[in-house]
Amino acid sequence: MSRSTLLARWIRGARHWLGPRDRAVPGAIFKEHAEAYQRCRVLIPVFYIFLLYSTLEALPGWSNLMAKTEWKLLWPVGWLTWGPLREGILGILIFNLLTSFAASIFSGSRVARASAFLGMLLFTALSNSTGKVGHNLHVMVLISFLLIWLPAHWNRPDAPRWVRNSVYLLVSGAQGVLMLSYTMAGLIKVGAGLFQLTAGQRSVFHYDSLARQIADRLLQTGSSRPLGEWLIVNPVAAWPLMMLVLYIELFAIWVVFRPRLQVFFAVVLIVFHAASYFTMTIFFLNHCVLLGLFIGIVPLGSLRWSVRGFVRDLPLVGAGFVWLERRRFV
Amino acid sequence: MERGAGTFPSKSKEGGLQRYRKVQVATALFILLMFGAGEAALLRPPNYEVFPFYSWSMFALVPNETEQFYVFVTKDGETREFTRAKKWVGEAANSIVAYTVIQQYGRALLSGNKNQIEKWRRQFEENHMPDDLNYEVRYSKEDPMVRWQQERMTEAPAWPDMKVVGGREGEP
Repeated sequence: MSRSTLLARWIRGARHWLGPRDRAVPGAIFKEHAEAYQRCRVLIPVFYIFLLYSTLEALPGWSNLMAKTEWKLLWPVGWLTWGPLREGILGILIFNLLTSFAASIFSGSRVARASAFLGMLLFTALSNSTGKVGHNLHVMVLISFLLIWLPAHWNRPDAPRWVRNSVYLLVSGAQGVLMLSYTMAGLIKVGAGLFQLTAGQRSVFHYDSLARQIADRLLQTGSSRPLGEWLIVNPVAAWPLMMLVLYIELFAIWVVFRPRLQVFFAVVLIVFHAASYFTMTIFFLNHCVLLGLFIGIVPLGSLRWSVRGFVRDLPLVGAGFVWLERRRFV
Repeated sequence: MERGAGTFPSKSKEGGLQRYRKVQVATALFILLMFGAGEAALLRPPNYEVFPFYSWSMFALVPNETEQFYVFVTKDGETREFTRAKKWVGEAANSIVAYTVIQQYGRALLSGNKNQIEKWRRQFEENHMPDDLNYEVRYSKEDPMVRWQQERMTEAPAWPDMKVVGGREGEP
């Protein structure tokens, strides 16, 4: 058996294990894929329009970037030191603007998509070469890399099944990239929490963990946020929110395989980002839009929605619910 | 018809399936790479990333008693803490980038590494500190909840005892 066949089998096994419990109707998956493909045909151009929007939104910051004299250049823009710095920076900014504009019009062209990825990679590296790396754009870069590999003529209505399935798969991959970022954040929080717990420190599991994070952040930037300040003074109120966020983050990757949960997780994560803004001044606008696009508005899959099905699909909670169902407690 | 004339490159079912498999395997590998590189980046402080793969370790550790570096800015005999000196340093006062640079500068000063000190001093002074201001970098260890009480819950903020680790003294 070839290595790639083995990996494909392993992927199928993982999908079966991670997927919903009641996908029993034969052939249902093909109908879902056909519907999902139509949504992907709309979603992908919208993604590139959003990429252009992100670039245009950065326009007012160009003068700030051009004015900076001291840089801590990340590797994709390390070559800027070889020539005149200001011209190099301007070149990257213009290249990003042109390529994202081209991709928003010609999302069917692989050259346009590859150029847009390169433009976004360079711009993200440049804007994070000032001594502090922010992470609002990282997922955009990774998704735009993944979408380079859409098959030729992917957006034609008469595309054969392998093309439609490949498009569906790559958009699922984009969902995976987005949701994996949250799962990784959840995993590291749990790991660090266990470490701090064993070291006798306050950890993510303590009732005042969120209050401490908010206080620390507001002090760092000398900022004020009425909601954040209230939660610092009333740390117990913040604890359930922290636990909910931890659960949602930790199991976010499951959602890619369980479409019934997608809208719920997208809404909770968007509310979480809004709450981060109102408590800590941190805002991940790009993540909010990507969550809305890839997870919330365009869930891939059309399993019939029911409260029981939803609860059954919830990671951990669902297993407990099924156990109770089997014993006819619910 | 030729490929460029509007048909799809793989007309046979087997060829299409093979291409689909390739996409499937490549997508899975890319996601595994994102996970693997991100987790491996935990070994690369202080950013914990191999750009553009990040460990997503933001807010992982709950702040207990942690080391903090402050910049105190002096102008015309008046001294203010950096985040309260917006009228002198502008938007940098509330910038998380400036905060991060101050922490790196402070750590470099404490370690005594001359290359690092020079690198972070330039980052700070060129991008966040106007030329006409003098400043001191001070160091303390503190609990954010205690600091919050001292700074935000009292009429006159009380600063703890701090060790001066560096700064700039220009002409008066």
